[in-house]
Amino acid sequence: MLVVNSVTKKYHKTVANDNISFKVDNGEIAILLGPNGAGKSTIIKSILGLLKYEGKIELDGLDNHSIEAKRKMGYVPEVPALYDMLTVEEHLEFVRRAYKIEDKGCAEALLSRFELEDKRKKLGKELSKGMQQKVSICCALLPNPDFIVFDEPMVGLDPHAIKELKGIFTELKNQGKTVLISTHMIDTVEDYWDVAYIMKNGKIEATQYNNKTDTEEKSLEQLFFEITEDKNA
Amino acid sequence: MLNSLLYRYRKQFIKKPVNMLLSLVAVVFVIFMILFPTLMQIDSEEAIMYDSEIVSGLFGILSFVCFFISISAVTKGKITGYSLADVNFHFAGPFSRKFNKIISVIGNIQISLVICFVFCCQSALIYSISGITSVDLVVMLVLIFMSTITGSLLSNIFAPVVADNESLKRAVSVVIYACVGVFILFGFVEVYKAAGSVSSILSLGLPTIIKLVGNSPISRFFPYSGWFSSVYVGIITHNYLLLIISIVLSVLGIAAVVYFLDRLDIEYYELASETALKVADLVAARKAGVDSDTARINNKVKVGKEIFNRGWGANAFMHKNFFEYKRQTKFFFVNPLSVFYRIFIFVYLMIMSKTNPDLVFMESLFMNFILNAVIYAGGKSVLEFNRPFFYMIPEKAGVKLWYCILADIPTMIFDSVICLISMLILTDRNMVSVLGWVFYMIMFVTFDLFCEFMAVIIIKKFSGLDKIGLTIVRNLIIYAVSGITVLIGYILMNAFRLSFAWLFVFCTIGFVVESLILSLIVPPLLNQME
Repeated sequence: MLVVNSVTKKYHKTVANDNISFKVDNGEIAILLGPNGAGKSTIIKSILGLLKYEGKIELDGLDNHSIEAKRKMGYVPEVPALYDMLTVEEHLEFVRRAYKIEDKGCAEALLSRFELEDKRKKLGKELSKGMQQKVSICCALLPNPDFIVFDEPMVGLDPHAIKELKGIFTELKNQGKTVLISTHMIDTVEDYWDVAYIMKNGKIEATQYNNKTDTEEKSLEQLFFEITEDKNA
Repeated sequence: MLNSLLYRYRKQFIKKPVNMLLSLVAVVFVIFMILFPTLMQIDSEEAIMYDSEIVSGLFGILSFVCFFISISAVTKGKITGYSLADVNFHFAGPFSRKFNKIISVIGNIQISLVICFVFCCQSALIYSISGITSVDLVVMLVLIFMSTITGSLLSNIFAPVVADNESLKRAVSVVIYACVGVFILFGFVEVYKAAGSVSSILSLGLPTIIKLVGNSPISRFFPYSGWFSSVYVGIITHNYLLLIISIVLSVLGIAAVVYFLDRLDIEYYELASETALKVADLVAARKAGVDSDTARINNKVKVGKEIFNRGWGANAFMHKNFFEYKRQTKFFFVNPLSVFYRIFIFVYLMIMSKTNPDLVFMESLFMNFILNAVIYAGGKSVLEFNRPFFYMIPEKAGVKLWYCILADIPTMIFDSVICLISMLILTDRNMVSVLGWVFYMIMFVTFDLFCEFMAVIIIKKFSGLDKIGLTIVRNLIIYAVSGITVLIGYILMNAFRLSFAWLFVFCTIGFVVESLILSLIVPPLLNQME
């Protein structure tokens, strides 16, 4: 379970995250929605321990900066940055060694699932943006993390990979993993989220639960535009 | 953790066979240059007397320079040595912060390797003035590493502290540059005391200046660089008090670095990620052909009322290059990088002219060849061929090529004039006739042309290499071909017992012929690539 408690992050006088608190339970998919500059990437980087902030972030009761917590985390960055001179399979081997994973079969399964088998010998610098994103996703999934963060994961992916990724989200949820997805593409997340946090100006402006039985509740899209287009807010 | 890191480095390294080969050649060369003093001492008649004061002076200066280069990064408030992939895989992965700092140090070791290589290239000269031994050279290489790594670590420790505070960043810059000023001032005072007047300083000669500057009190006890170098100086001069003090200070200094590494983690990842992102953006921009070789200078230039309205079709390249030179220096024929190199060569040769005047003529020729190859083989015109704009212009490749090259000809002529003036000042102008000096100028213009043509071919033929590999291959090929040209000219001059001026004539003819041949090869090559 991820617990974010009163996190504030400032860049000089700009408040990127203003006293943000939320939690994501095991087996739950949470999405962070918001326009550009809302503070989504900042809170994600804080969760991953890449930024210094005020407040507290814990993963299964462990401080997010600890090595133990990092072993439980997977991260798909917004900008897929691979090592230029490592091939696709060497990236996976590097991650396998870094996370001390004994089983070599997981990498093969992921390569097959994301149709990367014929690209296994390609160098990082030879791959297109979309292919790099697929490799990033494979690297993040390889350690079988308990908590996984996707920062704009659909950007650059082809329709097949998007479909595959959506399937993976559901699988992760069924396995009891904690999933956090940051995006500003509402239509790509409509069908599988459990809780949505809508961010604006560094704050969480609304929290919406995906209760499909409640027909009177506003759709996520309606709520999003209502909040983000509010000129007085 | 280490297992995965070593796996990555191993896999990355073996993907670059050219770099591996070049590294091997460089290592063999360095070993040879280290052994050079030992080989010279075998023949006792040729052996140079060992002067421990010059050697210790060299230790002091070199150690200081390495330390200063690496620590001065702190003034930019940046943490270097990480890529964006390091941020994604290492910072967000199961690696400890201490472990991740190793990556940064490894990244910065490249600076040490370059300094070591350049230093070893000079071992013959150093031996000739000091009688330095091979053991001294090995210790000096270790010293270069220690000073650079310590400087890099200190820079990475304190950069996050000053990054967000402009006034603190300025204060740190002032302190660092003040230290350099104090170092130079102390050195100058020592030199002045020995010379008696400012005008007599150069007549002391390079070895004496090194001896005095490198052994000044500030050099001996300058934090880190002075302490490290003094350990070995204490050994070779049998100064045990200096040895003990410098060992104690070095140990305490290293302990302080380790302590700070452990404690000061303020915004460490944040700043490193920020720098890595900026570097990644720059690399992406370069791949897209957006940047230029003078992007940093252009950033600060105000365009004001200037209007770029000349050139049509392929001709636009020529005027664009003129325009850029004019913006930077006010003159369309002045390349700022070239002027900087000329000043550097001039100062170096001015010192050498007082030390060993017989060598100045040859050294001047040699250094101008080396640096002209750097300027023109990697210059503005050559870079056009790495960018998409060049290929998008609907003109014949040969026409575009010539307009690019034409833009550099005024710069080449201006450079040759500067080269000539410096030669006339520093050497005996009667060594060569007036016509000979004219050919000296023409020779450099033809050499510059040759470099540009050769560079374009190498860029196209070795496009798979990375930037460093490409630069090394390019320079090696240019130096090899031009070296053979000069050698043939020298043999002809001696065979016909002609004056030195004829060497310039033969070289000019050689470079003209080579340039003509290359100018026939390049356009079809560019057409193919298009």
